[in-house]
This record gives sequence, C-alpha cells and structure tokens, in this order.
Amino acid sequence: MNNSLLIELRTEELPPKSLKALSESFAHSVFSALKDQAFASTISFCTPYATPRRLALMINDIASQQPDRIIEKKGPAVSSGVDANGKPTKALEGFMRSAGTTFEQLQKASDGKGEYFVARMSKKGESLDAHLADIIVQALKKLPIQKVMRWGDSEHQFVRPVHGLIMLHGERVVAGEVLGLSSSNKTLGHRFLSSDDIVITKPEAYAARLATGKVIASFAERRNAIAEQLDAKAGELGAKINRADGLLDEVTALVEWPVVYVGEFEAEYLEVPQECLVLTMQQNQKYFPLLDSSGKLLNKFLIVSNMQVDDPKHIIGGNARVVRPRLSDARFFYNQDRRHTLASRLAKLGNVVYHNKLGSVLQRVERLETLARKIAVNLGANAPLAARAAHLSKADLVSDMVGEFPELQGIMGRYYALHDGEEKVVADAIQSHYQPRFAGDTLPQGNVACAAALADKLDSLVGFFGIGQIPTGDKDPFGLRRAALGILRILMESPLELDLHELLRDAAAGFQPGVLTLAEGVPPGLADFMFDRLRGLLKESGGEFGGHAQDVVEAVLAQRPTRIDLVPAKLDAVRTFLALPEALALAAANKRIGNILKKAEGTLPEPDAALLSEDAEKALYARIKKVAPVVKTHVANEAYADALKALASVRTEVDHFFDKVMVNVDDSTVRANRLGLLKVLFDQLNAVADISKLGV
Amino acid sequence: MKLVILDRDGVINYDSEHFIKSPAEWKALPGSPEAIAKLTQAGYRVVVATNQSGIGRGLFDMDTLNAMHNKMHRAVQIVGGRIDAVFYCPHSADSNCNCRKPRPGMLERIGACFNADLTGVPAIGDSLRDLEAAAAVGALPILVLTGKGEKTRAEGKMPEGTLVFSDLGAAVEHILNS
Repeated sequence: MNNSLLIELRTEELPPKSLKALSESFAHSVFSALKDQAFASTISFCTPYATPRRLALMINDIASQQPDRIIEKKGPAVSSGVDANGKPTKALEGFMRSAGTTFEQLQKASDGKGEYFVARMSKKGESLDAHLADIIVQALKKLPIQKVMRWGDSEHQFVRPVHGLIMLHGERVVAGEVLGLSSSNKTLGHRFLSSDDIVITKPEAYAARLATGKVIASFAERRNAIAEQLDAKAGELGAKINRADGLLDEVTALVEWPVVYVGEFEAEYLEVPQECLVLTMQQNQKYFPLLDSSGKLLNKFLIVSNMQVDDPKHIIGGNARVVRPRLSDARFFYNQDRRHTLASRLAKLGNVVYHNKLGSVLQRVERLETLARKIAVNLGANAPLAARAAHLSKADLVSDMVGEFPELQGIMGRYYALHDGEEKVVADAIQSHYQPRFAGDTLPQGNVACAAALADKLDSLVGFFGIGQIPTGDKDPFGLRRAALGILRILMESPLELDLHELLRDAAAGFQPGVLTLAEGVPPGLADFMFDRLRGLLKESGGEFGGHAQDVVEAVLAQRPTRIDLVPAKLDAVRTFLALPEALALAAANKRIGNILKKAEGTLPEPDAALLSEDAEKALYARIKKVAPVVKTHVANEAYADALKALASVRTEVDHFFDKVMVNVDDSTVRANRLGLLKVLFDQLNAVADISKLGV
Repeated sequence: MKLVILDRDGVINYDSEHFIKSPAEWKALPGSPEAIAKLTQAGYRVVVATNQSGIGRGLFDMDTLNAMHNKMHRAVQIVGGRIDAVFYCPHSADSNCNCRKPRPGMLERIGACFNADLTGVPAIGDSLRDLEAAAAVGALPILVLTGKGEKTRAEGKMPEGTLVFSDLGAAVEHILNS
C-alpha cells in the first residue's frame, strides 16, 4: 500500500552553520535511495524539515513493498568473456559468481562499442521494513560532517548525540534501528516550552503536531517567520534592518520557536565607527542591528530568541549585559588604535610575513607604492596621493580593531587615516583598494583609488604566479581568481586606458631580480589565466558587461587584446557586424584564407599590381586599396563597428576572387603575389576581431 | 575544536556546604550565564563536569538533578548561550570510582565523547580537586575565586600553571582574548 513516509532523527543541538546543508543532504540521500529501490513513485516528492534539534523529512506515495524487478548487471565484453573454444574465461566466471548466474542464463547486449555479457536477474520485491533503516544509516554516513561525537555507553558516532527516531509509514511505525535507537512515533517539542511526548499519528500531521509543542519544523517556514517578525518590529521602531548574508540562516538554525525582542545599548557607544558595532552585534551576538532611514546605526537591535516569555525583561536585560562588554571592547580598540598614526605602524609590517618567498608585508607595501605611483602617472592622476594611499593601505592590519575583526581591514584604515589628517582621497583609497571583494561588488572610485587597487591585485597575482603558486581546481588560497577578475573589471568598467601587459610587466619589475620566474617580463601562464577570467566575465549573463555570445567573445579574445577598456566596444562592433548579411560569408572566407596562409611558406611580398592578371583579383586588389585606409582610420578612432561595416563591403570581390582565381598556381611569383594579396585582406579582416570564429 | 570545561557548584551557581539539593537552591552566580553565552557565541562547546555525590548518598534523586540542570540550561539559554553537555559523577566519596574529581575519569570521558584532545583546554573550577583533575589530563587549570575559590587559593597547593580569576566572567574574558 502506498502511503506517506515520515522520518525524524532527534538530536542535540546541531551545528548552526551547517544545519541547512545537513538537512538538504539527508533529504536528498534518503529520497534518492527510495527512488533507486523503487519504493517511491513518479508523484512522490520530498518535504525536508530541519530544526536545531531534529533532521526530518516527509515523502508522499511510498510503497510498503517494492515491485518485482528485473535487475541488469553488466559483465565483461563477449570478446574477453569466452576463449577460443567458447568456454567462459576466468573474468567471466568471476562475474557469474558475483551475479549468481550460470553461463546458460547469461545474455548478450550491445552498446555500440561492442557486445558484452549481461546477467538479468529477476528480483522479488521486498518490504519497506527490510530496507528503511539501512537507507537512513547510509544517508547519515553521507552527511557532510567534519567531526563526530560519541555519547552514552554506545559506540555509535554522529555529529551530535541522537535521542529519538521516528519511522512512520502512514499510521504504522516501521520497525528498525538507527544509531542504536529503535523507531517509534514519538517525539519531543521545544526544549523549554514543551514537556510531554508528542505522538505523531500520521506523517501529514507532523508539522502541525510539532507546532503545538512550540516547534516550527520547516526551516523555510521558520526563516520566513523570523523575517516577518524582524520586519514588523523594525517597522514599529521606524527603523531598517542591516541585512547580513547568512545571519538569517544561522539564526533560523538556532531556534525552534522564534520570538523577536528589541534590545538596546547606551547611545554613547555610537561614537565608535558603526561598522565595528554592526560586526560585533552580527558576528558575536547574532543580533540584527537597526539603522535609521539615512543608514545611520541606532542604539537598538533585534534579538531572535528561542524563548517565549510573558515578561521579556530578563531576556532583554541579559542580552544587553552580554553585548555591553563587546561594545566597550570595540570602543577601547578604537580609542587605543587612534593613539598611533597609521604611518607609525609601518615598521611593524616588517615583522609580518606576506609569503616566505615574497617577503614581508612592508616589502610588499614598498612595491605597491612604486606601482601605484606609476599607474597614477599613466592615468594622469595625482601620483603622490596614489603612492601615499598604497603606503598606508596595509597599516591597519596591525591595529587592535582589525586584529579582532579582520573583516574591517580597509574600513578602519579609512577612519584612522582621516583621524591622522590624511587627504580624504587617500583615506577613501585605503578603504576601497580591496574592492571589488566579490562578484558584483562596487569598484574603487576615482583614479587614485583605482591605482592603489590595481597595484594591490597586480602585485599578488604576479608574485604568486611568479613563484608557481597557481590556482588549481577549487584551490585558490591566495584569492588570485578574485584578484584577476578585480583587475579586469576595474580596467574594463571604469574604464581605464591602461595596457594589461604593461601593468603585469611593471608589477613584476617591482620584485627583486630572481625572485620570480618570468618570460618576457611576465610570469608564464598568467596572460592565459587572465584571458580565461575575462572570457568567463564576458559570457556570464547579467550586468552591463556580460552576457555575450560565445563566438563573439572568442572572436574578440582571439586577438589577445591588452587594452581591456576597449573590449566592450569591440564586442559591440562584432555583434553589429554579425547582423550584416555579409557577416557569415566573410567569416567563412576569413577561415579559408587563414588556412591557405597557414600553408604558405616564408614571408609574403606586398602584392604588386603589375603581376595581377585576372579581373577578379584586380577587382579585389582595387577594393582592398580603397577599404584599407578607411578601416585603419576607424580602428584608430576606436570606431570598431564602422571598421567592420567597411570590411563587409569586400564580400562581393572576395566571393568572386575565390570563384575565378586559382591561388596555388605553378608560377611561384604569381602564387606569392596572390598569397600576398590575401595576407593584406586577412590583416584587414582581423583588424578588430578574429571573425573566422563567428557563427560556429 | 574549541572546548571549555566548567565545574558547576561555586563556578556557575552559588555553592552550599550542605549541597545544592533542589532546583530552588540552584541560583546562578551573577554574570555566569552571560559568561557562558559569550563562550557559545565565540564558537566554544561548553561542557560541565561536576561531582554530585549527593546522589550516591541519597540526598536527592536523578529527577531532581535533571530538574536542577534544566533550570541551569534555561538560565543560560535566556541570554543566548548553551551548555553542550553535562557530565556528572553520582558516586559517593568512598566508592573509589575513577570519575570523581580529582580523578581524571570524567574529563577523559569528555575527551573521548567529543573526539577532542584535552591538552590546553581550559578547565575552570573553584576547588583543588577540579584543578588536579584538569592537570591530570593536560588541560589548563583555571581557578575562580567564587565558591570555595578563596579558600583554595589560600591553601596554596594549586598545580603549576594554574591561572586565577575573580569569577567566571573574568576567566572567560581571558580565554576569549588569548
């Protein structure tokens, strides 16, 4: 009989940061095992539940008995399964043993690559009771758990001690044992707000029954309930909530029956930069800080508690007592830090190792200064200010506040720089030189900040590549992908008229000779790495600069452009060109010419008009002569679309040329001349992008 | 794993020479639930290890002990903290068990359950036997001056390297800042 199935594993408080992942993995593993073993039907779906003290799931339409099935097992190839006499080989005998069949029962099947033996065994359907516990045990083994515990006198191990197990199929308890627990239909409600056993009569009643025990079983529902309560409370206070990634999920994983209370701290702490207070509250206390309509921090915050009480003064008072010392620490660090200027902290950076091959942070700062100054000069920006920003950019790393909250690097640097009387543009650059820190983050604003930001990223990228610390797979311990993307986005989106290759070379020149492995002044493989990132950036959907078609991106990147700021214009031009009727024909012609030229040997001569004999080649020559200067002017003016449009006009002559003219003739002079003509055409066609990549 | 081991009576709650025998007698020391909350929020697993020979002597039963602990859990939960586990030795002093502090059994068991190396793990108590049990397993003995703490300090037999703080709040501040 088909019925809904409920599984609940009741535990001690699960680690909040991984609760969601544990729940998803558990539900997925159990559901797919039930599908694989033919207990689930096509209309079955899985509803996962997760609270700090339980992992649960409900699946509808689960059979109590598997259907009888034919199980197919693939064996060795026919060629290696029987010997010359048609007798089974050792390999096949082994297979027959494992499959429990005889030679006569084996069948043959083919998959296109060859024929192989196959054992088809009919398998009698078994009961859910025989399999369910094992399915759960296997699913638990697959959970992403870092460290397991033991508990009581048992030898069972799990991420936290377990206390209860429900396996309920319809109204019937499925007998079985998991982690030493026997199944039942009983559970417990909230740790403090509920006392007696809760009996679950049928799976569909689970969530409602738990609600009577002051537990919202569904993670998503609880998350929504918290969000609603937070919004309501913030609304009452006329405040906005400072949203933080992951905080709502984490809090959802900490409570079973969320109740939001308003806490308060002394307004005098507001003299501390609000980023510090916000971070303290969010990270250490899991509070939601409140902002006024202009984004300024209020001395009120929201607490998501697991306790519902008539008089919340204990909760509010207790939380205020816990947060006060943290705020007072933050204020202490802030006051303490400001007694020393950023500039005076630099010497300390000499003791901080950046990387054993790349020197101390102080040495790095010295490189950054030179590089930022150079970039600023190239940009026509204020070079002394850029150098000053780079000079001070890492000084806050040795401040107490950043020691306590590493996330505040740069932010504190800005505050301290302003306090020291540095120029505002320098202070802003100190903060924003870390940007962009993630996909979609804002870019540093202004040339001084951009120079400091580029210097920071170029130095780490060139340094680590130069010592062979290249990101592989998902390992990128030094954040080099992020650095590369940051450089590309700053150059392209600002945009900045800088040459990428020169930037990389200038960065590499800042290191002591011999420290880095270099080829042509740049670490080998780095340019390819950058172009791979650029390719991804341009194809990625969304944003003003992404969402380009693959062939358009490849056409532009095939030229390995080093002026990244010009790439968007080239992409647009190629896209416009593609809309022209001549585009694909020219792309094909370009590919053909490329292939012909690849086979040509030696340097090709400039085409000589006197050697042209056929009408078609004369016409092409005349057309190229006419178009070439136009294309050149357009390219120089960065009017790439116009250049490509001008090129489109050669199509008739190109088609005609290939119809009428034979290139590889015996007369070597004529042949070389024709190849020379094609070479000129080829260079023109590829002045903006490699158009042979289009339409593929 | 970040782990802290706490004695109960005289560290988390007021102690009494006549045992804490009922939930009514269990009263948190000022600031101790908040101190535990700070540990929880800093990512520590907080474990209590307590001698409860009152059970072995028949002064109170398991239900009463559970009720006392429920009160303790609640007091800590209200300020946003959590005690991850309570280990207790129910045996009387003359039963010669290995779990009663100063013997190391209870702490060793905590190490086994949490798969944790106890070396340097802060173990906070108010009496000499807490400190001796800590030292026996290589944990870091910390004396608080609440409960019997003053008397313990005056006797001066503390294991080498014992740190001394006025109360749990001060000890926790030190742990979080080091």
